[in-house]
Amino acid sequence: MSALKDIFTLKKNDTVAGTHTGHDEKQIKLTFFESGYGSSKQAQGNPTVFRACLQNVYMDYKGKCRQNEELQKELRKPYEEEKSRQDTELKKRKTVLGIMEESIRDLENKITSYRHDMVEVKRNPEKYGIEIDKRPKAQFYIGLAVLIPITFYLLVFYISASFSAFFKNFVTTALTSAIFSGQAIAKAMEDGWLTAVFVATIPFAFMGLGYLIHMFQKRKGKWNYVKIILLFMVTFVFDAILAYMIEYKIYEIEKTPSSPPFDLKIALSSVEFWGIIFAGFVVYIIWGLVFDFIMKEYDNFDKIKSFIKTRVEDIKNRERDLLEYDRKLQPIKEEISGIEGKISDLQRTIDGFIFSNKHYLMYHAEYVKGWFLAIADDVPSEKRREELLSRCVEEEKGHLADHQIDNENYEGRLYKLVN
Amino acid sequence: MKTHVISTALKGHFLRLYQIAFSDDNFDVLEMRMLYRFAEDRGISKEALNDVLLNPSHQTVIPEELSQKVAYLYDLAIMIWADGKVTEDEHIALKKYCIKFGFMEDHIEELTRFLLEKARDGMPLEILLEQIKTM
Repeated sequence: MSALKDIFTLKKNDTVAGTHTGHDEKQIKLTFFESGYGSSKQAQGNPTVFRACLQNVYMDYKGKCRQNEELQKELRKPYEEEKSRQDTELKKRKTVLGIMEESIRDLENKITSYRHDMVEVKRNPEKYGIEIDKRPKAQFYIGLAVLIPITFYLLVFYISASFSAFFKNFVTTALTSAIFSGQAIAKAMEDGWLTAVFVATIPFAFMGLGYLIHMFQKRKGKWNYVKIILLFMVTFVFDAILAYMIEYKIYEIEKTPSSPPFDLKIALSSVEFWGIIFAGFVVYIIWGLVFDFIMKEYDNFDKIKSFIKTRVEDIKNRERDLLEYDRKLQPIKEEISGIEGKISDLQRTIDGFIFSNKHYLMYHAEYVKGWFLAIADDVPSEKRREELLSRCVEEEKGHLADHQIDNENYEGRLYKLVN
Repeated sequence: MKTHVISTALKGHFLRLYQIAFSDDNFDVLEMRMLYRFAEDRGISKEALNDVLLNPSHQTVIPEELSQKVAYLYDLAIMIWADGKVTEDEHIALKKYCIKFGFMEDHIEELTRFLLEKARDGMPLEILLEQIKTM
């Protein structure tokens, strides 16, 4: 590797070899003056010849101007600077256009892929991170078909069990009629509408517990499992209390004077007690599990539906962005063609040659000065001299007007002539 | 590999470099697009970039001091490393900037390699400038 110093060496700036043209200018001016003087002398200041001579000087200067590379370079400079400015602007606009077109392409591709996703998600949900069973619909309906009868069962069971436990007066000891009461609601109505509402709504407390278990299961974490276990326990205890109350009533009817007082031990050893618990609590657990299962299946439907919904939203948003881009694109394209027009115009100027009024007028004045001086020197008659001078002034004005350089405002302005 | 945080000063340098590239014929439209994405990926705001794109260029002056030139180029090298790799396009862009900044063309390859190596190693600019001075 070269020394660091070498690597970080800067190029030397070439100093522009600008030769001073002041001296040349003076020389040229003198030449024009002498040429004007000489020609005037030869033609005795004739105005017609003067006009022709001016034309000649003009054409001659034009030719020289065209050939003078250095002058042309100087005259072109502002045009070249303007052109490079326009080039920069053009590059910027083209960059913007390119970036926008790229973004439009990206958006279009995204929209296409979103549309594809909407179709594909139903066939292949795992691809989109949606974990579902293959046949969510069938499982959902089967589950529902099981859940509805169990729900009815639970309704009937708890209505009658709670009626038996809280309000029924036992007259017979048959187990079925002890637990199950066919006319629970009707009998409860007889007791009063509050009783009826009480027994009719108790099953919903159990279903509410089942629903809570499902909700807690959805969330992860130890605390949720603790809550689920607590809920099971509460339901079990509730069921047990119902069974205990029914069992107590049965025992009260059956008891003989020698029977010991009813207690938990007696209840636990009774078949009816366990019968009530199983017919209630176990079915309740089954209900909870089936409910949980069909809710999950339902969520699966929902996942696909909500996925499709988000995709529809996404597509809408992208389409809005597309419109926005399209709206911005047109003015930029117009600007680009405008700038390109300007650049090609400037290029024509640069490729052509530039005629400088200012320079021409300087030499023209010298020539005219020479011509007039010769008249002053060589024409003896004052009247003739005056006449010649005034006619020559007219001719000069005409000449300047012909070439549109008579207006003083134009002095110093650059005229471009295109080849 | 050290990951670099793109500071505000760095972003400022980049925007000026971006401006400069527009007035340089050596950079074409595709490269300008690449640099736009390059800057966007490195957290330079779209507004700042669009500002350069949509406003007429004011005369962008290339820094004259050697240390300033090195600072600009070094910052670009740091930005190039921001994603942990140097692509061919990024390398070429850095080279073009070195040429634009008036460094000897014979040494451009070495210069860019040097800047990229130091940027990768995370050498602070002050130490780099010190090294150049003392050599």
